[in-house]
Amino acid sequence: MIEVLGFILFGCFAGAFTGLVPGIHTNTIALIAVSFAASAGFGVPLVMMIVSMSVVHSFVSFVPSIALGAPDEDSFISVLPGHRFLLKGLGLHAIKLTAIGGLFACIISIAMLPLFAMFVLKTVHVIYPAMPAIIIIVFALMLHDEKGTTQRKWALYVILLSGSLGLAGLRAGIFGNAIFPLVTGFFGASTLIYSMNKNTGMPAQEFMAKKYRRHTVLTGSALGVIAGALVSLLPSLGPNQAAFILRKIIGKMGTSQYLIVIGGISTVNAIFAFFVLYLAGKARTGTAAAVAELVELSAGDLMLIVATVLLAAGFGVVATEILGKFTLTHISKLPYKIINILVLGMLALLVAGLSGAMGFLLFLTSTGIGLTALTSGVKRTNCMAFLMVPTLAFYIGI
Amino acid sequence: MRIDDFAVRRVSLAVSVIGLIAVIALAEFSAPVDAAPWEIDDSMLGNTVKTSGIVKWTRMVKGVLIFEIGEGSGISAVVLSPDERELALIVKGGRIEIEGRVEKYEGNIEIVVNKVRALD
Repeated sequence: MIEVLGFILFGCFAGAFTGLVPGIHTNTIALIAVSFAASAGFGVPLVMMIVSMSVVHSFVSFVPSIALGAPDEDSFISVLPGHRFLLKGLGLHAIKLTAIGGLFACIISIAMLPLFAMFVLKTVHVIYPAMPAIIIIVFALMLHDEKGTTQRKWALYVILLSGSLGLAGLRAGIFGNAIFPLVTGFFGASTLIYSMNKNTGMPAQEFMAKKYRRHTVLTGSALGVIAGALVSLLPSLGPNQAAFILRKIIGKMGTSQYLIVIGGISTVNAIFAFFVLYLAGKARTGTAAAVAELVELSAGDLMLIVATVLLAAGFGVVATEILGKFTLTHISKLPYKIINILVLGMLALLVAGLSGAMGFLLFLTSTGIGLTALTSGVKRTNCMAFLMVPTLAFYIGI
Repeated sequence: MRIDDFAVRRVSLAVSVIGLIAVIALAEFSAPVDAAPWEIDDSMLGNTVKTSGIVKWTRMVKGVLIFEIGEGSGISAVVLSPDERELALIVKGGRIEIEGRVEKYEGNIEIVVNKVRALD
């Protein structure tokens, strides 16, 4: 038992590390764990390490995303609302909202597990054929959201450019893992360059505890569970697309609630992936696939996974607050422009190092498109077309 | 020094369009050669090929997914650091299409896969 606890704790720290450093994914550590297991013979303890790592990563990844504008593949949509809070001196509040969403969604999702089991098996056949229609409706809503003909025209340009870049970049093998450079350009680098040019100053950050409305937290977490369940079931649908679609379906949603929802989706997706593996034998995430390689999950393992998830969620909330406060305290001591230059340089180096010259080309192009959206005054969520167009093409079989 | 939004937009739009053209050109330039699994031989070493068939078996060795694809005679293929989608698609009995570079490993021809698509 001590051995399992040790592995869980190691997983928690590994998740905090992968969450804090953009570009380092839990899949990498999970694959190392699988190769380690082959020689060392560990099974269940390594599974629990992978589970705790995935859960903690889903919490901590919002720290660089919100505090530095340096997102990873699962948290990039939090950059936009998170940055607004940061510029009001409420960066820690935004980070905490995602952690609260993750924690409550984690508790709700475990309580709803039997319902989820029935839901997954009955609805997946209905949702698949409807995906193209849903995506097309969302595109229409995105254009409708913009004010006036000129804005709609620019939004259309941004959608066309982003969609074409996503289609070419994600499909052609020579670009490798294209998501990281694209996300970093669209949502990270473009924000930093725009802020530098605007001479935006970062106000002093508030670290005082804030009150959260019970209704906002509970409804946001529940919505996070619903969207997270869909993401864990459907290949090609990411947390960010689910959040965006959800926002469009249910209409106006406050920024605080939105951050709670995306925190919830991220964590629920990480958790449900293991239950989908047990219930349907499908590995929907890299970490779930690594678990499938290690052991054939039993009902007993599942109970241990539930306990691990709860332990890791508690660790994740505490780690997110500590790391968020630490990061914000230190960056607020430096001139905002210097921070932006340093983070931009770090992102460019990470992209060049992890994705090579081809990835860097995608990074430059997506940064240009992100800046076009910002300087045209249209919503940058239009850049989401880089994932939506390839997803649409996937579902209609192009 | 602050540059006005109009000038930034012009530059960023130009970067976007030039970059997009370069990305599309590179994607097209690297378009793979269509071949059946049994047609892939030494003459295709170093080329990028596209082939399809049924996955006969899979095995994970130190983070590398190894499998055989084909109907009747097949060819070995590997995915280095497979992601979640690839692991979900490459399962025994699944009908898939793969793209990748033809390479030789320990005297045998294999495809180092960089793209997978489900055909079912």
